Amino acid sequence: MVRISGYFIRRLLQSILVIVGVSIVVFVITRAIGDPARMSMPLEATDEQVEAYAQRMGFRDPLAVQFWNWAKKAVRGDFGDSLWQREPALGLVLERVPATLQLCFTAIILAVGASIPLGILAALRPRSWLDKLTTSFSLVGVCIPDFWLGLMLIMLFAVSIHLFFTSGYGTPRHLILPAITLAARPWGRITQIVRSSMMDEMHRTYMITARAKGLSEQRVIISHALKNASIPIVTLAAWELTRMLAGYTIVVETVFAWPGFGQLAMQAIEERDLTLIQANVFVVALIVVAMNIAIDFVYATIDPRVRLE
Amino acid sequence: MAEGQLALDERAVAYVEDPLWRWRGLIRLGRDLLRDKVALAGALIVLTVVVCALLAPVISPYDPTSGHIGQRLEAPGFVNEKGERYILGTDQQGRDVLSRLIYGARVSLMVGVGVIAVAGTVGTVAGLVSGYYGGRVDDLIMRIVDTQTAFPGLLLALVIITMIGPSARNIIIVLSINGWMVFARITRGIMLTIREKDYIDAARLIGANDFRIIFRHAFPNLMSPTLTIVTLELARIILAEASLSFLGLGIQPPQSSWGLMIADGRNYITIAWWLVTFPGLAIALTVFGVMTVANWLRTVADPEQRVKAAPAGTGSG
Repeated sequence: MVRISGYFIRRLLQSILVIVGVSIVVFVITRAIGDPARMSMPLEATDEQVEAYAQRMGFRDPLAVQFWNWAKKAVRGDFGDSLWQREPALGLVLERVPATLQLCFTAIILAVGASIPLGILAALRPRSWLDKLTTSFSLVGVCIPDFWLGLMLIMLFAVSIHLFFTSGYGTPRHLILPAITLAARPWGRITQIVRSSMMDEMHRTYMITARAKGLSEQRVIISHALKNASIPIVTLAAWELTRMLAGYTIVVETVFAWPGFGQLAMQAIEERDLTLIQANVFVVALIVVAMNIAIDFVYATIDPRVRLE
Repeated sequence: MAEGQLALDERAVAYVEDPLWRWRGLIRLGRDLLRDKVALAGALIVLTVVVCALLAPVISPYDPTSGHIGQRLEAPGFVNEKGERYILGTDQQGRDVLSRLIYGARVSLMVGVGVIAVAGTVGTVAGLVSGYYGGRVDDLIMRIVDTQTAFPGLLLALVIITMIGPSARNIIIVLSINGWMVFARITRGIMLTIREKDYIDAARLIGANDFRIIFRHAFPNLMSPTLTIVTLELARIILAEASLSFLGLGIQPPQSSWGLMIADGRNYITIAWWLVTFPGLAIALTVFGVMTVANWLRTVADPEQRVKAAPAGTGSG
C-alpha cells in the first residue's frame, strides 16, 4: 500500500508536468504564431480597432506575463469567456464531456467485444477461410478513412433504409452509426493483435501442461492463453481509446453532428475562439493523463509481474 | 581444409563473375513479390498511384479545376453532346471526377513524401544522437518523445493549422511535428546495439570523428528497419491528410485532394453518391496498398514473421 501511494504521488507530479507542458505549448501556439487579436476580430475591423482590442486583452504584453496572468486564473478553473458563446469556456467544454465519453466507450466496447472472439478463432485455425476473412476485414477496418465510413453508413442505413438517425444525440438509434464508425479502426487493429498474440501463446509449453492436466480446451484457451496474451491487447485497446478521446472523435462527431467536445473543438476552431480552444485542449489533456494512470492500475491488476513503484 | 577453402573461393569467383551479381538481392526480392499475391496487388496499387501522381497532366482526361456548370452532378458514364465521356461522373461544378481523383493522388503523395522527408530526417538524427551519446542528451530527447507520444496529436495539429493557416506546406509541417517520434525511437534502439559493436571501436581507433562514425558506419544499418516504418508512416500520413482536408483545414480549393472531394460531395450525398464514394475508395485502396507493401517488407526482413503474416496496423498516432 505504501508503495502504491508513493507511486501515485510521483505519477501525479508527472501528470501535472504533462498538463502544464501541453498548456504552455497551446498557449504559445495560439498567442505567438499569428496575431490572436486579428484572428478574433471580424475581417472588416480596422487596424486601430484590432490594436485597441489587443491592448485591452493584453495580447501586447510579453508572452511570459500573458501566460502568468492566464495560468493564475486557469488554476482556479477560470479560462475566460468564450468569444463566440460569451459564456465561461470551461463550462461549455465540460457540458460536452458526457456525450463524447458515451460515444468513445461504446465504440471501444464494440471494438474489443467483436475482436476478441474473432481474433481467437482466427488464431486457432491459421490459414482457414475464417482466418483469411478475419484478417482481410481487419485490414479493411484499418485502411478505411473513418469520416468516409461514416458517410457511407449514413448513405446506406439512414438515407436509403431510414433505420438510424444521421445526426443528433439521445437514443441508441442515434448512437449506433457514430459508434460503429469510430470502432472500425480500433476493431481492425485489436483483432490483428489478438490473433498474433494468441498464436504466440498457443505454442508455449505451459499450454501442453494445461492440456496434460486434463483441462477442457475452452478453459485452456480462455484462462491460460488469453490471459497471457492480454497485456498487448489491453495496451492497444487503451491506446486506441486514448487516441479517440484525444482528438479522433472530432472527425466522427463532425460527420454525425454528435454534441461532444470534439464537435465543440471544431466549432471553436471555425469561430476562431481562442479561449474555447485553450479550455478544450486543457480538458483533453486532463482526460488523457487520467487515462494513462488508469491504464497503469489495470496493468498492475492483470499482470502480477507489474509492481507500481 | 585447403580443398574447402578452394571450393569457397571458386564459388565467390563464380558469384562475382555472374553479370547480374549486383542485382541478385533485388531479383530475389522481385521473385518473392511475384509469389505473394496480396503483396503484389498492394505493390501494383502503389505503382498506379505513383504513376497517376507523376503523370497527372498527361493521363487525366480533363482539367480538374474547371468544369461546365451546364453538366453538373452527372452520373458516372455520362456522355455530353460533344461526345466527351465522364467515366466517374461530374461534381457540383461540372468538373470531371476522374481527373480530380488523378490530381488528388499528387497531393496525397506529395504530402506523404514531404512528411517522411522532414519527420524522417529530424527523427533519425535525434535518434542517432540520442543513442550514440546517451546520458543527458538521451534523457532529454527521450523525455520529449515520451511526452509527445502520450498525447495523441490530432487536436494539437488542428490548433496549429488554424494559427498558421491551411496549405500543403503547413500540413507537412504539422504532420511532421506529429510523426518524428517514431523515427527517433527506432533509430535510438538500433543505435544502442550498434554502439557496442567492434567495428565502431575500430573506426574510432583509426581516428574517425563522431560525425563520420554515425553517418558512415552506423547509418547504413538503419536502412532496412527504417524502411518498414517509412511505409507504415506513409499510410498514416495519407489518412491524416485526408482527415485534415475533409475538415477544411487541409488542402484548399481549387486544388483537389481526396479528403476535400469527400467534404464537397457530402452536401450532395442524397443525390450524387459517386462524389463521396470514389475518393473514399481511392484513399482506402492507397492505404491498403501501402500497408500490404509495408507488411511484405517486414516478412522479407524477418522470415520468422512469415508464418504469422498478420497484416500491419498503421503506426501510432
